[in-house]
Amino acid sequence: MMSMLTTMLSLYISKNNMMTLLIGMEMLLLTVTLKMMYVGGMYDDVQSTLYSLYMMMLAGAESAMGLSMLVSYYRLRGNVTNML
Amino acid sequence: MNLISGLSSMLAMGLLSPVQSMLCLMMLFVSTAMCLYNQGFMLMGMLYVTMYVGAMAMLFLFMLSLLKMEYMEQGSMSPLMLTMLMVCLLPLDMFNMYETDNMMEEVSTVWNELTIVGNQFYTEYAVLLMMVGLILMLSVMGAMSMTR
Repeated sequence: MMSMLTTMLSLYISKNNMMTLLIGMEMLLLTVTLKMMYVGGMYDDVQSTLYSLYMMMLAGAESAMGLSMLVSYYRLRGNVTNML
Repeated sequence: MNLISGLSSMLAMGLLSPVQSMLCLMMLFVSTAMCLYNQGFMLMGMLYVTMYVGAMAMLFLFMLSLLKMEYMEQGSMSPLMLTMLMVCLLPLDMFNMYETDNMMEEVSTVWNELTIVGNQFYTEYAVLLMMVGLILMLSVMGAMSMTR
């Protein structure tokens, strides 16, 4: 719930440039991972650490794909604005 | 430290220039890692610093230098919006129940955590580890083929 609220607010606020959309996605993944780590630490469990490691790797893959899409968009259009 | 991370995340969204928002994103990750480190998740704190501030921020900065960004000179965050956001989010910061104030766990505890995580990764979840490695390689190949 908290992460959903944060994501909605960040996507609403991020109207400046395209990069802030990717930054907002990173922040969403950070929020979810942090919450899961805390809940796992509350129950003294190690599986949450493992799963958050997986999520960190997937966030890295997602960020690389998003930035490469931004580069290809730049090649296609010539500039990157806040409008799609 | 929670307050610093919240403020830096809001600034990362709201600032005008991409370089400033990138700087605030780095500040957010460092403060989150310090928060995790203080609360006993030492492995994840150090991994956050190495992975995000070391690799991901470099990637973002490289993209910033590569592309010519056009950003609108508009103040997208009005002070009223910021104040309402702070009013809504501050009670969650004050009354959170998970935060404890144990500083600096011993070396043996960290070693134990690292041993447990390594054991789990290399024995029971080895297939998942290989799959995640394949996914990372696939993303790199996709990025190369997309920006070719």
